[in-house]
Amino acid sequence: MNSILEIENLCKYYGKPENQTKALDGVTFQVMPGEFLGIMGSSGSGKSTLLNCIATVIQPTGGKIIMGRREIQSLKGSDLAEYRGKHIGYLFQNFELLDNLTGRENILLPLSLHNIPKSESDKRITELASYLEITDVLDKFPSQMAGGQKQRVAAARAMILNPSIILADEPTGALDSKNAKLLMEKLLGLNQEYNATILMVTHDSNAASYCKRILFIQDGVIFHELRRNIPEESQQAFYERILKVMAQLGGGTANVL
Amino acid sequence: MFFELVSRNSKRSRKENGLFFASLLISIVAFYNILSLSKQDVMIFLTKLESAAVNKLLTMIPLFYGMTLFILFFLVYFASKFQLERRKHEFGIYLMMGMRRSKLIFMLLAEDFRSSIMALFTGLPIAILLSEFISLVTARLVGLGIVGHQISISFQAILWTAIGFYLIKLIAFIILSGKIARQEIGSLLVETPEGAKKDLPSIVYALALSVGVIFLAAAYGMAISGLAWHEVDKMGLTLILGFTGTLLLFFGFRVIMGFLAKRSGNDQKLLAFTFRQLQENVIHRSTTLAISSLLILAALCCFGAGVAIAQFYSESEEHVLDYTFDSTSQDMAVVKETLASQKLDLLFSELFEMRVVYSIGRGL
Repeated sequence: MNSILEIENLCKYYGKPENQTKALDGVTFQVMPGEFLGIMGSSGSGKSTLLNCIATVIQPTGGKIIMGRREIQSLKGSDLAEYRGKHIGYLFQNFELLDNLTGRENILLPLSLHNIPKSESDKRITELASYLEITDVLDKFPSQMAGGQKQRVAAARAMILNPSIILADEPTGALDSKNAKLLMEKLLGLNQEYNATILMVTHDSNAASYCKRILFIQDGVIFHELRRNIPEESQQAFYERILKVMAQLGGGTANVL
Repeated sequence: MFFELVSRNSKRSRKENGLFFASLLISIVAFYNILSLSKQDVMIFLTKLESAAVNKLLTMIPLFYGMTLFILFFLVYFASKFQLERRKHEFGIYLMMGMRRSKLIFMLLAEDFRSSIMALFTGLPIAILLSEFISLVTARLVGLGIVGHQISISFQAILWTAIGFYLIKLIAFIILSGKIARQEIGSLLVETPEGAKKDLPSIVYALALSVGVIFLAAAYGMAISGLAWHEVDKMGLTLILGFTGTLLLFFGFRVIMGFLAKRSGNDQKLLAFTFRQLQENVIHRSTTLAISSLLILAALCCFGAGVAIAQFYSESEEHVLDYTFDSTSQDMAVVKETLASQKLDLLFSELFEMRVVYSIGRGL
């Protein structure tokens, strides 16, 4: 099976050579279709930088990002806009809904930007809203919604154009545990039932336990990978494995007094 | 959907920046009243009596209008810049959802156009009513008896008001949208404080401050001594020195603020904080400060020039109106006696006789 996303030796450096910060220093991996991949690491490890490079929010210093056999650094103009709108769906930590549009309008905005017919839009929104349990907030403004509802509306907006991959940057970061669990269950459902490919950056081990595979980043390089043994390994067991690796990230027993 | 977004964004901008919108309304009202001055009843009446003086005033109107547009441009530019800076994050989200940059610029242009239309549709009726009101009031003050009144709308004034207003908004928009179009999504999404640029060594600021003071001293010296008024080149040099000097002065001022902030000492932490706040939020925006300072100076110069011109004309021309007395006796002494009996003789500086000849047949 061909991979949906390939990252080859991706680098992102900030500052001048004598005083350089290497946010990413040669990251290489692939994402397969229908995969639920997690990227974990402590603050400053480079995980958000990696996601932002894939989403073309920032330009990498070196390396390649290949999506659907196209190198995205070479995309310009309408191709780049189409890539951002149709091929990736971005889920922000702080929801980033537009305050002066209702839930429905927020979800429909990407469709109107890419000239999708209304009949098709209505069908998709009804289906997604029903699945994500946001039907009753569709006609409300973001200020009238709870945090969990906002994030699920944002998830619907990210999914509405059937993107090749959903990029989620700490999607549970601003949610309480109950809403975080609900959101992760919905994302898992999207992955399992709709075969959505999800690449999620998180520092939350609980959220990461929903993934099938996790890459651990430290100091701009991938230093470990965990794969869940489905169906033998339970989510709880996978979570405990994640915690052990996270403890190692923090220095293990070396920093214990 | 797109136009719904434009409409909502435009409405939100008007609500959030009510003071700016009110300033635009006031300027539209002011522009219309100035440009329609020649259509006012009193001005029409005065043109018949004192055409030379009134024509002088009316020829100054385009110059006055141009100067006001120039100053208003800066208000529009800085207010729009502030609004767009606040919405940078929102623009990043639009681009992330796949909106093309050209479409984003078009959306902002449409929002601006909509706001301008609202300002004109609100401001022009107010301006017309106010103009009529002023016309009636001044007619009464001058002593004209009002038998009836017909509303007069100056379409030329409406046209020039709209053109001038749209022109400055368009120019400001073009400059600002160019800046946004060049930015990466990452820099739009991340909040960077304005003025957070790299600090140069203190000696650079000290040098800028000294050079700025010298330039300003030279400019003021040339203007006050009268040297600048001899030739256009010298005036041009004065303006360049003044403008550059002001920019350098404000740019170099941060060395003083930095010195004061360091000197505040450990026991005056709040003072140090205040200086740092002034440094970050005020002094580091030296270009904006310099331009604001120059605009205030320009406004004061215009005011001063206006006062001087008004004084000059009020001194040189003593009389305001001519009155013609028609006397059957054809004797000036009789006219003088009549005026004296009514105690009006002191109101007239000079009485002179005019003989009018009528010719019958083919006239002039």
